[in-house]
Amino acid sequence: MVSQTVGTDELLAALAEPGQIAALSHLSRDPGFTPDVKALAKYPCLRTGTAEDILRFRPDLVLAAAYTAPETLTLLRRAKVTLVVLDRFETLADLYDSARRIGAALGRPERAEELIRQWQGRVAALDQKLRGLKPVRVLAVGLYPFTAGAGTTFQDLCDHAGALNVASEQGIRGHQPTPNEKVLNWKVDMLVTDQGEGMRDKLKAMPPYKFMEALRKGRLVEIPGPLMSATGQARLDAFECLARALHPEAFR
Amino acid sequence: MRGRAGLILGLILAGAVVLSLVLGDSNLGASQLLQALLGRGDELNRTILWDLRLPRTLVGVAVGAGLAASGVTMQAFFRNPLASPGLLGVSAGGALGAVAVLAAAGLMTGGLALGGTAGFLAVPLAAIAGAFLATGAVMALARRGAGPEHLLLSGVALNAFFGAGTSFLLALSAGKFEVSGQILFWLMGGIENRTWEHVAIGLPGILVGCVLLLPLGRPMNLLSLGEPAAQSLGVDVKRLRWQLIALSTVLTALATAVGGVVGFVGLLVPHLLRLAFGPDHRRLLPLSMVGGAALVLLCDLPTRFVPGGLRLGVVTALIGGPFLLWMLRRNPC
Repeated sequence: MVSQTVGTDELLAALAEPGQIAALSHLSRDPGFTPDVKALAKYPCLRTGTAEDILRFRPDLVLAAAYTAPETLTLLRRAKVTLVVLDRFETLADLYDSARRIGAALGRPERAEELIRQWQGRVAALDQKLRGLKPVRVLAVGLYPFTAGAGTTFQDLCDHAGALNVASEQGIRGHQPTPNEKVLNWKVDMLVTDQGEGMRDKLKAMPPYKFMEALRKGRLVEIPGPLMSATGQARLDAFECLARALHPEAFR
Repeated sequence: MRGRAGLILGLILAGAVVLSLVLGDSNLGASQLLQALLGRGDELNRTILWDLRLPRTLVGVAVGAGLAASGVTMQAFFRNPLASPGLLGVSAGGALGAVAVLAAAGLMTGGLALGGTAGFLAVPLAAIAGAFLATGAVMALARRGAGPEHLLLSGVALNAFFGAGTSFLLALSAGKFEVSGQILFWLMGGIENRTWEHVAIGLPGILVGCVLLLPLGRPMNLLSLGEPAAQSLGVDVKRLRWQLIALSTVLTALATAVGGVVGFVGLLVPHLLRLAFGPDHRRLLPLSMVGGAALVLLCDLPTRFVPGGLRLGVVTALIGGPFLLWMLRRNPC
């Protein structure tokens, strides 16, 4: 089996027997996208992700995403390769659904159910810790001046980490440019961003964030980049990471 | 000299075709390739050769020949060596069509991958629609007898208009990184993952366009003497201009539809060949078609092995720019 996208690498590695994995996406080697590069480094990886690049591993099954180039998928189908094309990545329910689909394609549905039970256990334990705590009002910020509203992985992160996404509350859907005047009137307790060298100072120099009270008072949480954008099971680490930062009292 | 030039370029093209069929992600040996070529041996090897590498090669030939021929034609039409296929806004129109489909599909459904064959054909067909829209506008102006300066300004306007539309859609898609990535990749040109449908869309039309251009070499030579001189030597200048514009824009439209925006080929190849073999269009046209095809195939080779998105349009410019400067330094115009 070959995973063509970074969104399916982690899931395939967790669900398959190691001998079933022919190759993972080229981003499986990139710590900017993959939370646990070391764990995936033992598998071969694609170079370019084109149909020929995939076919050189002679896969029976390829995991791809709705945003994979349609020509690639057509050529793979014509080469009689079975495809599993995942199209939803935003929520925890999407993760469970993807795991079930991949588990079924691998002939390992019981492994998928076992993993889902483990993940549900972790989510329940986190919910228990956060029960009764007032959600912290957060806003996703970054050097690329976009914020994440409803229907994004960041919204799902907020939903499970005791946070209220102010952008969603203000009617933003998907990833949109941060409205640089309106945002100054939004009541934001904490800004959330990707971890990066000197990130705090860079944001402090950047309008409109430099004018926001939350940043001036140092209320900024930095989450490792691959966790912020995680669509696989690493999103559970992201939930716990953000929850710890927002509600340290629950983890004492 | 004419025969020698043709032979040299023919050999370069033949070598490029062979390399394009032999080199790829899969390390197929000579015997495996030969077996696959004969329709024998491993089924996957046959698929790689016949359904992946051959369509890619043919699309590369079509794109290169079409853009180079279009470049020669535009330069003859405007009597200016700086003219290129994108000058009249046809490439920009094609780009807007393709980007509109990519953006709409990405924003509404998350991607074209779920659309099956219709999904992947939507992009080249939309590019053709956009390019022909631009072509229609140019042709309407040409029919009304607009002179080169008028057409040139119209091209500036169309390029600005379509470019603004493309930029707007790109900005609209910026929040969906996978969609904006697809758009950027398309805008940088490329012939990877091409299918027989792409060949069917691009190759026959480009072939016909090139064949129709060949007899126009002599009138193009006469046009280079200036309109009055060409007219006095029996050339129907108005008709010739209309033919040149029609063929050039159609060639550009089809090449853009199947290869994306591949810059520099239409400017570089005619220039180099003019410097090397002289300005006679009877010779320059066929040589440019062969040279353009070879250039695109050779520039496509590194994109097969460099991870992270080295694109055809980037390679053509990276190689072509310095090479053209070197040639110009050796042979100042």
